[in-house]
Amino acid sequence: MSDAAPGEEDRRPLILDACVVLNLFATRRMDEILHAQGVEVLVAERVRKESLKVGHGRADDVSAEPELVNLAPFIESGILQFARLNGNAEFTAFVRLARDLDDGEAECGAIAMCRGWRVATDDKKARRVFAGLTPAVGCVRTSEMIRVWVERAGAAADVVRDALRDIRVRARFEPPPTDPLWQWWMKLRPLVNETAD
Amino acid sequence: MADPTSREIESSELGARLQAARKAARIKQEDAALAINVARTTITAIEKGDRRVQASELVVLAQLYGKSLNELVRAGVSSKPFAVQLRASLPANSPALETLEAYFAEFQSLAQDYAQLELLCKSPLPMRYPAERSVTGRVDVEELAEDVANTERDRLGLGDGPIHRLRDVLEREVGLRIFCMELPSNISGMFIFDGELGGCIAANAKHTIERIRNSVAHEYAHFLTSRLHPSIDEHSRYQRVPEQERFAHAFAPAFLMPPMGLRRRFNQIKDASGAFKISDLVSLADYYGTSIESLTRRLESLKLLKRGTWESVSIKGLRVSEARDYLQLHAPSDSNDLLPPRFTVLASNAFEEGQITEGQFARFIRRDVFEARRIHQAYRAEIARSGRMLSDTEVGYSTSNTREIEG
Repeated sequence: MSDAAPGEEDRRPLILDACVVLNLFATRRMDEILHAQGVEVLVAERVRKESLKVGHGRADDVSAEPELVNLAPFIESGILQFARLNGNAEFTAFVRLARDLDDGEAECGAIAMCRGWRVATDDKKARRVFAGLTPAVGCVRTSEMIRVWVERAGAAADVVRDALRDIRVRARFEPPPTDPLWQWWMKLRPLVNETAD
Repeated sequence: MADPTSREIESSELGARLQAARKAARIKQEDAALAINVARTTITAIEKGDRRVQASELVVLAQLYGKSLNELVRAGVSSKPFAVQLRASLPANSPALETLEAYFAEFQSLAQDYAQLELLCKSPLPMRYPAERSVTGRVDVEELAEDVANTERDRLGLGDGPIHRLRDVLEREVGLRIFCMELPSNISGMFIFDGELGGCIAANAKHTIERIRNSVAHEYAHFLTSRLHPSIDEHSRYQRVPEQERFAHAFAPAFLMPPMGLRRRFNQIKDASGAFKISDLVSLADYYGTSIESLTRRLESLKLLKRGTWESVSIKGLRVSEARDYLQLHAPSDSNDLLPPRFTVLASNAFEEGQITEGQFARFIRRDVFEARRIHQAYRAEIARSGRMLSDTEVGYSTSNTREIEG
């Protein structure tokens, strides 16, 4: 969902929920993807502190341990920034949203609502809750972020295929058929059988 | 669809939750007051619901107590604090009290989460509770235990064979909420009854499956005879064992190994080979899903083996796990999974339908998001296979998590 006029680029900052962080980290090209968005990209305190994991992705090594998502390099390089709740309105919105959502999702929503930002999330319920807020919070999906990266960075077909495979295998995620970019995604994703670790 | 859990909770309810969370985290009111820069009396007022907690204070307190804000502020199912009732079931000077607070809180949280998922999925647990039986004043508690076990097996249509999937049977046929928590090793189980949540049992996941089954049957005995008295079964706690405990001790083997069926099976084995060997003990224990000690003692009490058989068998150095491996016996069809399979199916249904978020789904099933996605993928594969949503009575897909078991 975008508030930008047709043809106009939405320049509002984007705050990532934990599930999108997991998907993007799994590609091993998170920095390129974030850079391609052309806007400020942030994570909330709770998402940054959450100990997220992705699969190792090596089908030939069954003993491989999941890999911890380490956001420090992205934050140090400045490609990803860190957002903290600030002021009474944001705390109040956080508590209000936490009635319906998990803490990380509620924090992203509260910050986005109070600052006029967008949230990157694929979560069905979170998207519904954010759409019902006043003002409504715009949402972006993993598929949209990947498409922006593919189109702006001109990533090679095999690179894109690897990224989509890694999202599927390492993050155990694929967009649902209700995702507007589902067909686009399915056309690009590798057809070979991958084994999840 | 209106979300039945989306409403603002009362200050008094929030205060009670905050108090329970603070106590579970073993934090003093003074320290909580310091964290949000108020007087200790303000914490008292907040916990009583007399003073509304500010949003920024609530966020700090949730963090201090190690509790998610969502758990504290979400509407829906609530219950009286388990901790208060369970604490009262132990002697005031019990050393276990100090360490058990967090387990009481998690036990309550599991039971509430289960009921919350039922509310979201509009799928309440059918509660088919029998009338309570009184143990008080009975001369022969053991005889009563045999009688009650027999009546219950009849009521539940269990025949006189072994009970496979005991947890499932007691959940579906009776309506109990049964969890396997990693409790301190000296605790076998806990039982509590709550007006909102019904009968809830926690068995110790660190124990063997056979022992867990015995503990679940033992706690079920408490439910049958003293529903309103929570219990914590701690080893070697009693100098003089009360009637209720004696009843529960006798009920578990009687329920798991019904006399008629056991006698028939024993005689069949003996008739076939002319003897009843140690290997027969091992395979019969496996058949009933009980420990070899429990089976031997049961056979002794039914006068099928002479008194002292267990002592003589154990002196000979019977190695249970080696014997089981040698006889190629498998573990009984029960699990030491934290959650009942129905719990996970309800959570998956709620997530699939957008009633809960992925973060909530992971929190409900006590996994990280990555692992929660694996479980949800298995659930989706099952939907694809069957071509429809799973009902909460279908538990076919694998959610299990192998745990280390103490010997």
